[in-house]
Amino acid sequence: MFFPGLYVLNARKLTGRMRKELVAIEYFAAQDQLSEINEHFGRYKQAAVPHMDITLSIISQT
Amino acid sequence: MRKSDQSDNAAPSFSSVSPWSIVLVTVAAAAVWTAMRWLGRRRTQDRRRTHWQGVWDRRIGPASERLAAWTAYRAQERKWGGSLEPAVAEAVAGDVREMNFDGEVYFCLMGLKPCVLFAINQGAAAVDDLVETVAKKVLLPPAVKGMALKQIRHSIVGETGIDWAGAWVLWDRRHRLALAVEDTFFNEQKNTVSDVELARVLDYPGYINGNLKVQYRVLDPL
Repeated sequence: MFFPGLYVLNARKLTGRMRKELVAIEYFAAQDQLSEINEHFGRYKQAAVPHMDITLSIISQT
Repeated sequence: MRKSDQSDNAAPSFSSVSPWSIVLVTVAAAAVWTAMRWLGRRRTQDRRRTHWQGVWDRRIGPASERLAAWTAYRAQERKWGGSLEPAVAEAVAGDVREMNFDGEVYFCLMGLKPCVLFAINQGAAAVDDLVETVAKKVLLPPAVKGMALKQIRHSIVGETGIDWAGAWVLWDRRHRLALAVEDTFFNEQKNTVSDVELARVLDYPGYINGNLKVQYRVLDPL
């Protein structure tokens, strides 16, 4: 069934995705530091201006 | 009850609803939902801004001054990145994509990070250029009170074997770890720096080495 509203929302999401994602902070950490990382990220997220849309990404390099 | 009355009062069947009315209702619902979400977000932003305004003003001086400096820095850094000579861009190819320091600079200006280390693998000349043409103009007094920027002149080797000589350090003299930053990078009696020390002055949790690559990603503002 045709729901134009869904297309409006998807277009909005697509616009968001088209914005380039940049790395604001990068560091290396160990597996046992996950709680410190989360606490640290929480502080940074709180201090960020709202339009920064800050997200956390953890990549395991084995 | 007569049969004709029943048919008058019956609910309209699905086939009698015009497709355009479905379209209109859906579009209207989407518009209302978007407007409510936008208004809610504005209210959250205002509350957060008011809270942080007080914190910034008490701890590190007027937030507006630092935000204005960061906005100017970010714009000029993008402009500088776009104007790099192809040869220079190729020399720092691995880092060009993530060459923006504006995220680190933001958190330093906001009083979280004690310092920012301007350093790029194989890109010392590019970093010098960025610091000279952009950072020095917008991030130092009188534009922003309390900030300092200096190049590491002596050899200082980290645990991973990287020599930080030639890198630039932007630090906040008002930060509680400002003296630790100066001691870590500018004490000529010291030629080594441990990962724990680096992590402390760069405000990274724990120690630097590990098999997890942690990134805080932000969306480039439109």
